[in-house]
Amino acid sequence: MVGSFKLDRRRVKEIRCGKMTELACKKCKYIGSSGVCKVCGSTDFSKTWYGYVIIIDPEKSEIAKKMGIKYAGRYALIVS
Amino acid sequence: MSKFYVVKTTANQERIVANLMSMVARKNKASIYSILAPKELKGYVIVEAENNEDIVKSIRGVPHIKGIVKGEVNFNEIEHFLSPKKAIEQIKEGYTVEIISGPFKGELAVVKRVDEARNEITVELIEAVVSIPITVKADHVRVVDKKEEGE
Repeated sequence: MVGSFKLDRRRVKEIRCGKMTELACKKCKYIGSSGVCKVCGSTDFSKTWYGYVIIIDPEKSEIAKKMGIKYAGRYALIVS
Repeated sequence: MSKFYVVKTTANQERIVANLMSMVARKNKASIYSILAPKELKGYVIVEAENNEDIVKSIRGVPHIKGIVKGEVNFNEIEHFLSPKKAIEQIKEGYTVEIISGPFKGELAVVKRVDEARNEITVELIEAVVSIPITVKADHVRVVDKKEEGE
């Protein structure tokens, strides 16, 4: 448990330092760093995105319902 | 039923705060459902939670948080953040814009052409002696005056 928290902190540090390029899926707006979207499987990513939303519980969240999000994770609001 | 609260943060640290808050919320099993950091809202994040206590639980010890804004926010007040219009859709020919990044930062210009497919606009600087068309990204300008040509 402690190990996983440390890993998350390291990831946040990497993002803060700009070491990790975050890409947003053009189709579902999911933010990831790999070449394939974990949500829709698309490979069409964009570096230019704005707005940020973290969905923790998609079943109870009204924001997730409004945006049509079914999976927890980090999403962009605008992808261009 | 979820409620919406606003958390005040240090400017430009909204995304970091959202990440850290989500991590703490998951760790503490607080009933936080989502965290929203819109581009337009600098220095604030919107948190969807069951109640105020869950937010207090998950902001403890998180850096860059300045406090919770008193009271709740209605969903219809934040709805417009979820389906924002693209910058290019809000710009029309003849509008006066201010260039906000690049070598012409701070210059005022008039929009001459809008290319929605490329997300680019062609502008002419107002203060330039000889008018040279410049093509810039639509995200790199801010609309100053919405007066169209011929009005």
